[in-house]
Amino acid sequence: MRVKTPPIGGVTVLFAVGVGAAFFASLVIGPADIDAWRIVKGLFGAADETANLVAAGIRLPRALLGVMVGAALGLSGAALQGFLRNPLAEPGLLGVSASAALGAVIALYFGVMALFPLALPVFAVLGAMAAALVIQGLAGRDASMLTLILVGVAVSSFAGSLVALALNLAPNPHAALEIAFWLLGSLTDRSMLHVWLALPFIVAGAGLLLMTGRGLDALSLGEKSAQSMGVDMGRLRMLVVFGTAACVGGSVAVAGVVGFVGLVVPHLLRPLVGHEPARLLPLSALGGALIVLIADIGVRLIPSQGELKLGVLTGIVGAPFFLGLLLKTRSEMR
Amino acid sequence: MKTGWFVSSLAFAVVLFALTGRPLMAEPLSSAGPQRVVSLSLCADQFVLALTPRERIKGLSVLANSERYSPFAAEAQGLVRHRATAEEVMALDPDLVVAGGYTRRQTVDMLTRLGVPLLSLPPAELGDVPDLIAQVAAAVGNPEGGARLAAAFTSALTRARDRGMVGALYRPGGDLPGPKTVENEVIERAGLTSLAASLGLQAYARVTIEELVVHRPDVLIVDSRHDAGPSLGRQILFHPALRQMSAVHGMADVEMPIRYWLCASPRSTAAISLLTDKLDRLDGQGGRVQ
Repeated sequence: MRVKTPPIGGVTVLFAVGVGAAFFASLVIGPADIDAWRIVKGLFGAADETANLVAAGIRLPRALLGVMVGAALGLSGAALQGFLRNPLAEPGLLGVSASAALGAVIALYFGVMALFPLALPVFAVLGAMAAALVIQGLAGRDASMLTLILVGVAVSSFAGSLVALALNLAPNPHAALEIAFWLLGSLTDRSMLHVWLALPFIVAGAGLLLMTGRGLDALSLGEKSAQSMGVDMGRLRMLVVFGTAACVGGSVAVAGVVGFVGLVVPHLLRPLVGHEPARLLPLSALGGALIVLIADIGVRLIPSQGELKLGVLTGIVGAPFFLGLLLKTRSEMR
Repeated sequence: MKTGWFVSSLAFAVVLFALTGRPLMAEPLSSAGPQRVVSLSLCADQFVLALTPRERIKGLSVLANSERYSPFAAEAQGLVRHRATAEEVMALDPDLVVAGGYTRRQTVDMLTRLGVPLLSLPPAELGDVPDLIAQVAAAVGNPEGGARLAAAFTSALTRARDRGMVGALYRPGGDLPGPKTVENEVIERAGLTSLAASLGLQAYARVTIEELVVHRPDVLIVDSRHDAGPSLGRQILFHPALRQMSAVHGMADVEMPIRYWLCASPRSTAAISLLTDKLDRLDGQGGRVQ
């Protein structure tokens, strides 16, 4: 089904500009009353010491992580939906994020990270990979939506329970209180260390996922047609599994589980690119970055006792969206 | 599975019998006070350990013997500890349970329903400690010991000269203990102006690194940087911004043990003298004090 596609360049540029604007807003909005110009100068170490510290040491890593985490989640969602040919596929719903959180929790609370900081994202990526492989095995491609969601629910709750168990067994007596971070995500008070820990994995994962474009396009015509067009399904599967695991693992390791981004973003953007997965991928990365940046500004602006968690906002938007999507696709579920 | 079920039913029946078979309330307390004292929480442990003869203490909280969390850890060595569930407490057959501080309300309700003599200590500030000492001393039948301890506590409740410096205790996750907390009062008694109080914060407020940078204290006090194990919240105490604040602005970084001010305790005054001492040394040199 070919539909007339609007010019892709314009949309991409529009979203890139949007991400740039949200990035800037994320830098200049915050509890400290520092005007935009001082923040900009502070980024280059040219303002007063307080503004330098707030701009470069606190807000810059937060905004960078917003872009990285959002892009990683948007891209993973688009790739999973394309590969599984299932509009409900998403790292959060499928339990990939929760499994990544399990890996990160083990690395952080049991001292592995203290010996070797990279263990945090590495363990998270391994967790995400395990979940991706389990889902592959259990649901497979072309599984009914119901099967896929049920497998996701099972993997998700299993990993979630293990996260809670690990936190309760952790040596630190306050560990169990931190479960909200792992369930709902947050970018509060992250530093450049977190950016450097996540960046290589997200960049590598995004690279792998962006390579899937042509294969996903062919796959949208059906697996047989894709193979007849010379698509190596085994290679495509590996790209999707490893790419998603690296993206989601890197994100969850530093930001916790931020739900629904990978579900909502590709859906909203798909009509803009004429339902072509190859063009949806980069646009979903931009859209994801935009949504997470906006949500992260939102948690700073909504007055609350202590800062809200990021997943609270994405969930408030995402869960009704998910229900709406279920209603729309209900006939296919049976 | 079957045997497991059978054993737990049996255990339940035994507990039921223990509960109903012997009316605890009707037993007259001996003139020397209760003989089987059980404490429910870390904070209650400390009053019980300070005022009760060792052989009468039949149960303490899990953390009672932790050097890190209790200044009475040495006294608690070798005594029975429990996880503060009603079932475990009843199994210790107490004739007095002292609760307070971090206690599950359901457990206290259950023990009350079961008719266990219960002394519940209210949340306390330093000024309430002599009164709490008197209450526990009366309940365990040691009023003279209580009077001595209360007098010693009151005389150790000193206040240092005002240093003209702002201090803040920064905890994992950005917690900043504020007005009406033991920590805040110790900070003020050691001669600092409390950042939490001057910002008008609640008793337990969260302050982000960014807010801390803007309202930079002269002295940053940490008590959880090197504790039982790593945690997400603890990462904030290693945030590069804190190091820069010390390097650039000369913000002093003072490490304190957490045990003296986690509870309003008969030994909380040790926190005042310890912090006063560290700040006195700081006045000369500036910088980091272990």
